[in-house]
Amino acid sequence: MSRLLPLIVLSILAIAAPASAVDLDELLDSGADHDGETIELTGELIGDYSVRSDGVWVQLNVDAYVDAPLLETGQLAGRNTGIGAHLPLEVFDEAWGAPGGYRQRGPIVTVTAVFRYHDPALQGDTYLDVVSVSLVEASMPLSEETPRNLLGLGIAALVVAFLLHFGTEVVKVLARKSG
Amino acid sequence: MLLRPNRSDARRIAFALGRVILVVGAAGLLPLAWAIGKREWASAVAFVLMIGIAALIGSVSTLVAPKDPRLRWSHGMTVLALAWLAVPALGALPLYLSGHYGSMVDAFFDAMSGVSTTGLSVIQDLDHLSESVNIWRHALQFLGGQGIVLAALTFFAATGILSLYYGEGRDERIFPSVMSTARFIWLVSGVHAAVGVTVYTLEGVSRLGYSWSRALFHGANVFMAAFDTGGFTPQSTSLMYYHSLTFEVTTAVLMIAGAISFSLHHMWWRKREGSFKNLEVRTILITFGITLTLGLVGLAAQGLYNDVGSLTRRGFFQVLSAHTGTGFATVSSSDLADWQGLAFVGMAMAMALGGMASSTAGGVKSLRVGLTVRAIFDSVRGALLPEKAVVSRTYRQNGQRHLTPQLAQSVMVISLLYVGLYLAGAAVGVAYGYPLQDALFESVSASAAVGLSVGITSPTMPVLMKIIMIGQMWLGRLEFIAAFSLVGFVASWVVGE
Repeated sequence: MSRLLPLIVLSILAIAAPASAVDLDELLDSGADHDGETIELTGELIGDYSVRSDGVWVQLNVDAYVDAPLLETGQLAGRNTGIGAHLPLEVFDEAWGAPGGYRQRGPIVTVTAVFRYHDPALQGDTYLDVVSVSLVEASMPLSEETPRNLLGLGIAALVVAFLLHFGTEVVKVLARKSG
Repeated sequence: MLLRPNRSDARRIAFALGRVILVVGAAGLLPLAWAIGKREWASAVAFVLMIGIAALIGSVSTLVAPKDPRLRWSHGMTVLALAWLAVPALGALPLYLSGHYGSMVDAFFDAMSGVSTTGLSVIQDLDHLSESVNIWRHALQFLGGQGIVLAALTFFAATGILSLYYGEGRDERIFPSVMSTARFIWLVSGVHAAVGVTVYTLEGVSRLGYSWSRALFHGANVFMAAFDTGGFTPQSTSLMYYHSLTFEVTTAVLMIAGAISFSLHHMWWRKREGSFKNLEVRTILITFGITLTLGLVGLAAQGLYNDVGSLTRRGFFQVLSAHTGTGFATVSSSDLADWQGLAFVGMAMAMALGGMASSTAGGVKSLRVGLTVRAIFDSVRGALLPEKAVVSRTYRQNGQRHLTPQLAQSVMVISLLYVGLYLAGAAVGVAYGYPLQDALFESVSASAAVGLSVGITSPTMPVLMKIIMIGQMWLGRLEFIAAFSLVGFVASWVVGE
């Protein structure tokens, strides 16, 4: 019950103060103005699920790659924009799938959370205190082609380097033998 | 009259450069092994290609090997300046092939930022980068922090290597032989690596809930960036990603260890007393105290943090990160841009001053700062005392030393060159329309190999500005002399007789 209490309190607060959809960049640029607000963000869970005794820490990215993963489109769209999210253990669900990373598009989720700016409880950390999560799309693997032509080029360079090196050594030895 | 270098000079330089490139190729075996282990085939191919090219260049350099490969001072400096361009060029190849860079210039920017241990980055979608390429980014910082040429020296005993050693920003040898000194530097780094990576990995597994593989991945990368005062991180949210006090404290300790000169490490290892009487140690303690006070008072005055705990933890870490030239962030870029007034002055000063000489840090360096202040103080004292009074111009640095006019002059020239570089970069930023304060912050960050950013450094930054920042990172890391030697070498080639 004691573990559920904060979640219940947060949930009541979230219901009392309806979540507003905001842009993450704007949130980070004017953090002080939004401190304590209940907000709603849709993004990709990234990196690692850091499962601890008091909850799960994960990074939530809200950027262009959420809708258009680089490996699918090949289109670069700037830097990642992310923020740490703290999920109560009761909210976290392993069924969402692996978090995003190389060849993996993480689960796309909509989180309702209280925005904590320079939170004294965590000595100045800025993060999302998540109340609820709804899964939009489960995690999915992405594929990447192996560039065989470049592999051939690399191996060819290694072979030529090997032949040059040992060819030179052989010539030196022969030259020494012939006086 | 300038003497035109002959073919023998060129062959000596090419041969030495080839050796350095071979070592960088060999360093690529580490991320290649990781790529194969993790089945990151596209990345593995990029590393095979890079290693192949390095091997080819190394073999060709063997073909042109001169009978007498000894390097004169000017050869050494030229090799050094060229190596610090060639290595990032080669190192940029796997970065570019990863598909996370908009152009080869961008990949070269990050590779130069890596080897110069700056930590500024224009990578896109870092959070989906393969682990092996991420390891390579951090390995570049490790190579650069240790000294690319120093790394090469360890594998290829060469003659005439003294200039190479000094050219990489190391002011004194710990042992009579450069090779012994190089081995000691690797020993110190190895011990810190063993302890640092173990602490990170255990924290990752036991408290952060990572798998062993992920904990090792994060631990090894953050170690390389912390000890070599680089500042790259495997995730886009920098050190904020971990939400771990243990990670922060371990990183702080490693940053300090990286910013300390290897000769001081040696004194401590041998339990020799008197290190705190050294001018350099006293200077860095005083400048850190001043910049930290400015930073904390500035933050308190701005009211950015509501409690002492937050203010101290964030302020201390950021000023330490700036002073050691590391560039890790526990606050976001937009947060950092809000640090105004005294907080900004404290951060900018900390970045500009940098760590100790013969360490992995950048910036003007504490010894130069201390000597400059001492020289000014002595001059003022000399002016105030009676004409016949004898002014003692000595300082303590591993024993009593004389502050000769030549030494004072050379120290001030280098310090002024750094200030010039900071201002020139800021002027370019202002010309592109950025606010002066932001442009100055970013310029100092690039020139002093720090890597903190208020948001100017980005993939969408103008290409010319990227190229200028590459130049700043290169010049700042080489501390100007080797770069000037290269210019002199080229000039004598063109107009010499």
